[in-house]
Amino acid sequence: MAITETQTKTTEALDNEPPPASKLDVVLGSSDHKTIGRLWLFSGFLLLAGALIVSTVAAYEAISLGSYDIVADAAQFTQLWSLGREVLFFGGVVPILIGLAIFVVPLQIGAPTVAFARGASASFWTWLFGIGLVIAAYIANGGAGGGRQDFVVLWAAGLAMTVFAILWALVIIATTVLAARTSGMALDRVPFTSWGFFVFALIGILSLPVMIAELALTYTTVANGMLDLSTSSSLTGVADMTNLTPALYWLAVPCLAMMVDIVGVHTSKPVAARRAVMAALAMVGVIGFGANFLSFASVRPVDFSNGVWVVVTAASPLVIVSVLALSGSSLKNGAPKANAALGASLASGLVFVLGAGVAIAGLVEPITLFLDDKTTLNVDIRDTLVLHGTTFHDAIRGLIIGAAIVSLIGAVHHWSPKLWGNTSNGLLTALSALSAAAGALLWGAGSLIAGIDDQAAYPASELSGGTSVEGANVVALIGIALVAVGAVIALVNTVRSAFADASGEPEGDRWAGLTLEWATASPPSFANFDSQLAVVTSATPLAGVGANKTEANGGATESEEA
Amino acid sequence: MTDISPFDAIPEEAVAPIPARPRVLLTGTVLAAAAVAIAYAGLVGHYAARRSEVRAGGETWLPDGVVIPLTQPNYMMFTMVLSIISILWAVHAVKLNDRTNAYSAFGLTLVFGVSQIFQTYFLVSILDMAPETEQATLIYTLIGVQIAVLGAAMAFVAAAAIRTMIGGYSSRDYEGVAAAAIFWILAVGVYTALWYAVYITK
Repeated sequence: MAITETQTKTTEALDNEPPPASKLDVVLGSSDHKTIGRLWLFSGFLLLAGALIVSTVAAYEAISLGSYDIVADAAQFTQLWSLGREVLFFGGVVPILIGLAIFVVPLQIGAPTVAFARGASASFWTWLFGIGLVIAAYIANGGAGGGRQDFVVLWAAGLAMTVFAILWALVIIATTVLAARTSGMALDRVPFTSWGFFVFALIGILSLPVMIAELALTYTTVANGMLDLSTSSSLTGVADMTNLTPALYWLAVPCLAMMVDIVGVHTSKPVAARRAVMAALAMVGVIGFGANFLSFASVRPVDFSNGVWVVVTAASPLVIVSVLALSGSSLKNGAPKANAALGASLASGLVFVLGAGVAIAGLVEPITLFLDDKTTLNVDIRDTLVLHGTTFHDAIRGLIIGAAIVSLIGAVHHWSPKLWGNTSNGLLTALSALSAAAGALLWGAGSLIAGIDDQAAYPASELSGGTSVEGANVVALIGIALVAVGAVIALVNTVRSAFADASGEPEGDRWAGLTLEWATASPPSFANFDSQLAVVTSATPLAGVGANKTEANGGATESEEA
Repeated sequence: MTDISPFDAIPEEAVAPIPARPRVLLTGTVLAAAAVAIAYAGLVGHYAARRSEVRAGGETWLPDGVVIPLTQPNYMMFTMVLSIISILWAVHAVKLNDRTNAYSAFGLTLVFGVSQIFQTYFLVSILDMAPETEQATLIYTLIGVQIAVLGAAMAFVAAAAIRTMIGGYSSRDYEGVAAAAIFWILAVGVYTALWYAVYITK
């Protein structure tokens, strides 16, 4: 028999023990994926709201370009507009997605933590420092449109650091899905959200490095004095590669995936055609990446007259609609319950479809050019529908980014019991989602009308185009402001639920979900699952498990496919 | 008195461990390597596209008086090819628990890396290209990023070597060494792209 001897602690040994860590230490030095995910989420929401407020100010200035009320000149307008756009994407939407991924994915796949947990923490702090540098550079008259060489260089370095940190987090997310799944969870049994984040991460890994390369070139070009700073507004093109379609559809992948999971949970009917949905989500990713990849030799991702762009633009709404249609089977056959997360997710899906549909209007120009060149039809409608180089692209951006924000609002509500141990306020969620969705529609409509009336794409220095442009810009301004209001409400709701008393909250499975994150406590313990999970045998491991899933902790995973 | 036999340490009702999914580090390294490869491909693509545009205008790409010699780049290429052999030697040695060979292979790989940096420094010093030209900016950026990737690979190999020394890697687990080897081979690939795109085809 083995005898274990435990040495009694002496008074001296007790005195030498480190003092218990403070709450601040726990947050700042944590390698717990849940804490890191929350840090990404909080910071992301904060910067999202800030970026949208900056974008609202820029939109206000754009009502009558050429006469400036808040900024001094066209260069400052470019800086304001560009700051809003970059922070919205790399400081707001993408970081919130990463926060959700780092929090939710390990729980969904039954992993005790994320792969490279300390790396995840380091990626967050690197990102925060990088985006801080970007903002500081703009404030000091740097960035795209900036007039001070040192701070334009700082902007390039900061943005490269930001994108690098995002890339790092994406490698961690993809590695987690590939290598940290619990036993029995084959890749085709991974929940849709995790699958969507996996595709999102892979596409990011294969396309964002090109942006880092371009920023490295920008850095050396500006540092060597090779760029005339009076033309530094051309540097806005660096961020084009993520903000123009089809690259922008990258954001749709995880948002649509979350929608499918949320629809399945709140209708009590998981989507049946799993592999079709997974294939469609992968296709959305391929569409977002494909056109980039084929034209990355010139680094610029989108060539408007490119045949690939035409095909991808035509295909994208169909693929997005197919994901929605497959989710529709759950709505039809299940028992939908009124829920803010469900409503926000469905609304985001519809706005995504609308955004992809609007992009189709851009096909008229290249198709007309093609017919002109290759046939004798003498088709010439270019004078009426030339959208390239107009605010048309801003319309698509408004719709897609707006849809992503609505989706994020719904997703944070859905997983709020896990995130904070406290379900966030449904009314506030509905209000913020409604405001953001309506705002996205107005933003898209205003920019589209201005684009059809020939208003030059931002950053333009003067108002151009027809008589409807000013009115259309007012509509776009109201739209962006509404999205900003939605983001601010979402931020308030997030803070409120994070710090609210959770004593009345049901433990474990708040929504009767069937994936593994609902088999653990809310919020989960440090190790996620307090006992060893049984081997997973289906894509819905909790189907058929009784009410007390927290105690079952994934133990009843022998159920049949739902 | 303590009486411990090795068999007593195993509980009578030991539960068979659920097969872990190893290779987290290897998977992450492959993904990171893919990202680095894409970034460098983007840089080389940009360089090739600009060079093609300038040549299409009837001008020469390199500024007058600038000559890129072939001797140093070829020696560097040879060094890099040799380093692939040495890093694979390291993996093989760790796999066989042959520590003497493993330390030699790690050391040799790092020496190859350092020599590559010195040779690059010498090559840049004899290029004598003013940095205020587009060509110089592009070429120096390509060289700088290549050296950064090589530096990261050297750090990775050094970390794997240290962990091997302290017993972290052995025949039972040499995933970290294999991951370092993959990243090293990527660094060689990056130099190969630079060698062909800039030094050979200029």
